[in-house]
Amino acid sequence: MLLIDLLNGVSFGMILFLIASGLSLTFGVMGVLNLSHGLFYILGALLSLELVQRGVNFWVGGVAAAAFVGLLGLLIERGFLSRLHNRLNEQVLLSIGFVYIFSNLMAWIWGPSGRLGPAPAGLGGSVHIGMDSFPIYRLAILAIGGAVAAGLWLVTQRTRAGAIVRAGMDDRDITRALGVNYGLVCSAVFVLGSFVGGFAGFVGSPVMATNPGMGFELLLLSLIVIVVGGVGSVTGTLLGSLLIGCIDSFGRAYFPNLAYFTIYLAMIVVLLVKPTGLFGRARART
Amino acid sequence: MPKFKHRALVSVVATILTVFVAVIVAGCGSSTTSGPIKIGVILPYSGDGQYYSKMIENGVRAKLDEVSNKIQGRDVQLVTADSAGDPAKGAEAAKKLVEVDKVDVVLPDLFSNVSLAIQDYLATTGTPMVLTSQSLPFMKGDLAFAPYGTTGSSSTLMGPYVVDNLGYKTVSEMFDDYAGAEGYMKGFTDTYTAKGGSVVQTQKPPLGTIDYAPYISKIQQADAMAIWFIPPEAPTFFKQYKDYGKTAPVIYVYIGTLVDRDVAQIGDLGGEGTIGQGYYSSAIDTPSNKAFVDMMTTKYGGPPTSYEFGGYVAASIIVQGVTATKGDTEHATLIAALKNVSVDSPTGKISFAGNGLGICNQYILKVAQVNGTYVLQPVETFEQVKNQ
Amino acid sequence: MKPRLGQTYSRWAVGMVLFAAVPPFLPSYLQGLLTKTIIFALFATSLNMLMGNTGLFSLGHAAYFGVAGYTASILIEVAGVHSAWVVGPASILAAGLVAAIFGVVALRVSGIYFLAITLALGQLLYSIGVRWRSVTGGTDGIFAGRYPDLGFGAMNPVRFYYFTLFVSTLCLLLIYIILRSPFGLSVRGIRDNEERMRSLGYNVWNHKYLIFVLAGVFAGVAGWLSRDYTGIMVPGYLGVMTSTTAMLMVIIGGENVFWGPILGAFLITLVEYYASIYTPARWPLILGAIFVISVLYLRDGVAGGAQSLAQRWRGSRASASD
Repeated sequence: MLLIDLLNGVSFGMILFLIASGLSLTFGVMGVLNLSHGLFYILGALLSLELVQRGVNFWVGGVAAAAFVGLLGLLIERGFLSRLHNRLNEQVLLSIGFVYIFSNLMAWIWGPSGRLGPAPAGLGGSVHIGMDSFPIYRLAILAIGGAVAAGLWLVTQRTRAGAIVRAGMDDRDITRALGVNYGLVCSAVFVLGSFVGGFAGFVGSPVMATNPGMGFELLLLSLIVIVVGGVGSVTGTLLGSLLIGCIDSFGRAYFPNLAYFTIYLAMIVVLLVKPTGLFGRARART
Repeated sequence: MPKFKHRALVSVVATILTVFVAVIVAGCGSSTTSGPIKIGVILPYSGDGQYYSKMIENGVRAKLDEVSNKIQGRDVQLVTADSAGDPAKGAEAAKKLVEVDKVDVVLPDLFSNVSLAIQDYLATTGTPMVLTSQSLPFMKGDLAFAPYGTTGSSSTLMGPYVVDNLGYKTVSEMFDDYAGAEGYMKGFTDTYTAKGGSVVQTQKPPLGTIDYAPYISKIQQADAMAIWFIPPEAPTFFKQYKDYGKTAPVIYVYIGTLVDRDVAQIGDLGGEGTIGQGYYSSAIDTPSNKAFVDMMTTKYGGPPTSYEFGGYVAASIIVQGVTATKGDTEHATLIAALKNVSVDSPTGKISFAGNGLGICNQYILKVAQVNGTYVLQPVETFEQVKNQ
Repeated sequence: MKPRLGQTYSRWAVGMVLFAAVPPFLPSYLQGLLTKTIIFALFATSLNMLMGNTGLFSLGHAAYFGVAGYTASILIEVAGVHSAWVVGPASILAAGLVAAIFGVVALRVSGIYFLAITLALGQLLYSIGVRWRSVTGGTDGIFAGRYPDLGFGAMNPVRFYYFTLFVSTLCLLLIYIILRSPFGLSVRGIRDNEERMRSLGYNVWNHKYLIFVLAGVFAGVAGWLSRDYTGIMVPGYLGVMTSTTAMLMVIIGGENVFWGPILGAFLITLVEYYASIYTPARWPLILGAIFVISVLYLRDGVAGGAQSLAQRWRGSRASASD
């Protein structure tokens, strides 16, 4: 029934939002398209699964896993990306190299097959909606995603740090001229982005199996979300994700032959009509 | 100045070419009656299939160790090559095995499309092939020996069983949208509908789908669910199936593809009772299988699956073949001998009908708990099935 | 200008002689590897028309490679058209057509955004390749048989090697001429400073578009040859993995030297050969590590590094003879 389809689309969209928001942040602020962003998701999921298996509480384990991923993000940013200061192309190339390296490492450690985790206690099971059932955990994802979106929005729109970040997105040079330590801003944003990416993995782990090879797949979904929703604004990414999630879900349910293409088509249409995305800021970054 | 540039270019090019040549210093001409017997194995050692590749190779090595790596006085060497799950790479690997390593027989890849590419190439060299799992329908007949037949054979017995023994008159189908899965499902569907069963719905999610929710929400009312997904995707399906409150029993048409970890996950996710067909399970209760399971558990730390079994049987077939030719591995001689082999596998006799398609035992297997672990419990045995 | 050209072409001649004379003496497997490497050298060089020369980093270049391969496969296998004189040009045309269409979409944006779009467009074709099973055979692909049918005499590995060498060298020469021409100079100008070129009156978009389509056409030639070599066409040849392989060849070989990508193709094929024997499962790790090191420390690639070494040596020799 239609409501279920809608809930499917929106809950999938929420997961997409969690994945894409980190990418949108780093791309919007630093201008760097971190193609290895999908790996943060995978690592966050695999680590939280490990911790949960060892008896750690679901939420504690998840946040811990995300924190570890944030730390990895810090290492990558400080150790590699900042060395290629201002050389955007090189930073992107580096991220491609990381995809090769880290997917392989993760497959080495955890094996190439997919892993699925149990829903946390209290959020398992399903509710009845009309004649059908809908998993409670997916409803929880809506709440979690909404909370993260609200949190990110508050930080970017209502705090000084957020103002600096937004200023940096619009005009980096002037922000720097105003005395802001741009390097620090970049590091902080990248860490936040990777933390949210890892967090997304932990949230998604009870819903879909995680395998080390899905990095590019996740990246592509995030990319499409960003192109459609626009870069740099939390609302844009959120709306873009929900839209893409619904297009994908409805597409698969009602037009199964077009299943794979519906989201690409959406992307192309947006590109032709409004290249900066439906809710994007200013011009497409060069 | 021009001369210098020439020199640089020439030396660079010459170095590269020399290194290229030097790199390939292997396999100078070998005889077919003396010297080592070389078995070539092409598997996806890198990429998504690597988990299964190791298992298949273990099975092969287990058999070779049993015969102390010697057949008819000749040493046996295993030469492995990576296909990376790519048909072109697989064919290239086959080329290397034949031209550089001069192998006598090849065990082609696990993935059906890669296996097809390999068979296509080897048809031009006349090298015999023994498959470690099912095949897509052959491209060129004569040289390939498929003990378990084509993908359809792994599920044809399920059709009548579902109608007669389980009483499910209607099913809704869901399977990966690619030729391998279609083959598995077709075997079931053909015999199921022939027996009066009715398929009310068919859904084909693309390979690599991470969220089955849209499809699961659309499942129409039926007595049972008939599915086939590649093993990595199976747990996700089961989880989401249960999450959405679906209760219709699940038939995993070719269930023998699952390994212990998959079976355990499915059991934990509420999939106990899932039933399907297979040609091997470690829970098959015959003395020879018990011995095989004990041996493999001691050697590799865990019970064997259809993958180790496939490797083991393939190696056994080769051992028998070469024994019959008294050590002669010339292509045509070996092929003639392979046609007549009859191997006592852990699950019973395996031999070949005239067209390279095997005759073996097949089973109906059910996910059940035995001594606290989930295994594929055999509930029915079909002796000496002629695989198609 | 004249002496420089003569010099350059004599270098080409020497290279050709080596590549023409040596292979018959090599074992058949090696000939095959060499054939494959030359095809990828062409593919990588076509990508460098965009990367090193125009500053357009495309992550979806395999789309044109794959389209040509699929067009050829479908013509041969489904339409029963065997003559390479029809199949070849048709495949190359198809690749060019797709490049013409994608160029319009992708060039709406620039910089990193461009990279993202080309990636997505390539993956779009990949997903079509996977889903449109009735036409493309899905993940199983299309087997259309190896080697082109030129209408005279049977093909064999050696003859095909020479065919590939001939076609590839012709294309590489064409690419070289294009890049050395005033048009080539202007795209490099655009790479260096787009704004200034625009203010100088150049139609920047037209230049970018033209080189984008040309690069796609040459990628198509490589795709057609590749299909002829393997006989198999699978969706993977349209997707991101093939595109990034080419990108790796360009960067590791060197994007600022014409023969950089060619060298990159050889280096990667070599390392891959070794890795697949000893550590097949760790090959992507090794490749990634080489790539990261190259980007961080050897940004001009091996070719660039070799050139600067040569400069320094020549420089010190010159000063020594003062």
